[in-house]
Amino acid sequence: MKELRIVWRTLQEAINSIRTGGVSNLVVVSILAVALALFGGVLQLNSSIKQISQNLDTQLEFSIYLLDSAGPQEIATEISKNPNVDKVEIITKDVAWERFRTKFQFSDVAGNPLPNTVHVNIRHPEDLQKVIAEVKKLPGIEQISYAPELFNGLERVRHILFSFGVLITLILAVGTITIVSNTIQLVIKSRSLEIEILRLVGVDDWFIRGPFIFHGIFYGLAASLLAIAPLFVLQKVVWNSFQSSFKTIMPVTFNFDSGADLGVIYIILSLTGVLVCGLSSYFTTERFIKT
Amino acid sequence: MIKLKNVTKQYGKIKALDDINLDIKSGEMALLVGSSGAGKSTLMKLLYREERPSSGNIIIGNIDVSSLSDAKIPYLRRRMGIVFQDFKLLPNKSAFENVAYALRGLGAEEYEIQKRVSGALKLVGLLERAFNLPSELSGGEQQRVGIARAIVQGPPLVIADEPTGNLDPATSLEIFNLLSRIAERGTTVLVSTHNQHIVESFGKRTITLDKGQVVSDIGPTTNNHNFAQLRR
Ligand SMILES: Nc1ncnc2c1ncn2[C@@H]1O[C@H](COP(=O)(O)OP(=O)(O)OP(=O)(O)O)[C@@H](O)[C@H]1O
Ligand SMILES: [Mg+2]
Repeated sequence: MKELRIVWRTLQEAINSIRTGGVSNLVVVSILAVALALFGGVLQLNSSIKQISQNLDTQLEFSIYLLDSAGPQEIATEISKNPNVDKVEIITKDVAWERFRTKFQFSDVAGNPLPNTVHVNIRHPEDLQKVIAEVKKLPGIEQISYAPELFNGLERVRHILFSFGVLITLILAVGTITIVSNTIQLVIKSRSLEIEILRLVGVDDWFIRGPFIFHGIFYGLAASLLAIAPLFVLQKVVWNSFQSSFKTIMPVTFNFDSGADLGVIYIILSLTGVLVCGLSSYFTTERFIKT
Repeated sequence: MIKLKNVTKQYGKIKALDDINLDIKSGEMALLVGSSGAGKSTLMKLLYREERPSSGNIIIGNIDVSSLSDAKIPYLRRRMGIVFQDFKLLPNKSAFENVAYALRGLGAEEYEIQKRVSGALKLVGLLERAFNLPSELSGGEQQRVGIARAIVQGPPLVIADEPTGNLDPATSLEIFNLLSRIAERGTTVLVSTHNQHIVESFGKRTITLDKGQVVSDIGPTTNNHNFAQLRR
């Protein structure tokens, strides 16, 4: 009971401490929120790209573009003999042209630049390379388009982005720690008489330091909440528009459920905010409240 | 209550205290006098473990202060009340809140806080001014709040370093009067002062320091009537 009362009063003192912070609280929380939003943005982007590339990696589908000299029906029949192939679909150049024109509102142009296409579905993703090698031997093939090519490219981009993001995050973390410790240090200075009195009357160390540590944790919490809201909206808007345009650009079709593990990312974000701010105020009190 | 054995405190080359031996009994009131720089404040700081002695032993009650770890300092300070020359009151808190502040930090229950704080304020005669801010109180009244805060936990020992240093003679006398009443209730009281007049009129045990050494230690005189008159 006594411990509970002390915790409760520590929280009350934390509120007093936050009040002492005044306008500077707003400044600190906004700066922290920007830092956390950048960090969260990196995580979100990384997770989204990963989601796409994983989707690409497990594709069971590839497309063959034919020279006009080749007959799509013969090639399709040849491919469907392969036991690893599940399904073969022919899209003639006329059908493709028709689809393209309706989608992009093209007025009639002379000629049809699109090739005859054969969509191939295989049974197991691990057989993809094998089947493609077989198909390449057939005559009349202009180009084969399959997702893992794109996958490798995307993974490379993702790694670069992620390393860059981690670097920025580390720099921001150092900045964040500096800002939080400086602010807490100012609050400690402005309450030095209170601290001195509490020390002299024998109040325990952690009741004296606790309010300032909670103050730091409050910064972390407030800033992460502030950062999460725009991140969430951004993800929804960007992802939705991306997904709809992606479908028209790519030769293959995808089914994504969501852009990323947003819940996990936001928990990581809040924990990081709370931990970084809490720890920096913890060490600030250790340094500036001497016993 | 307080025992010092061969206590020396050195600040660099300065010997602030030089081989001090003292024994102050439980319930005794002792005055600590000496010119500026004699070492009075240093001695007080050693008692509440703001400083550590360079050598020697300090025992308060059953606590060995000289070897007390930092983590145990709160334990020591909860068993003593400290009164300061500059009062050390929080300017934005009422007299009541100033006295209650520490109790809150110690986790006391609300009704107990009410009871104890009212009791302490009553003892120092400030119950009617409980909800005034320090700026609305006279210097003497502020120091009485400081004393109420020192005794609110019912400590066996109260130490006061120049509690009347900022007060006029009449108010000083009033504060000493209050401290001696506290001693009469069984609390050990150690007070340092510059005020020679008070020292003489009180007839209490008087320990004189000079250049860090005890140069005289005169027990309570029977010739105590000045003080008796003062108290009516
Ligand atoms: N923190 C310190 N560092 C160095 N020297 C100190 C320190 N504190 C006190 N001294 C020295 O120790 C000696 C005793 O100082 P102290 O404050 O105990 O004297 P005092 O009797 O309280 O004097 P006053 O009546 O002026 O308050 C002085 O010479 C002082 O300069
Ligand atoms: Mg002094």
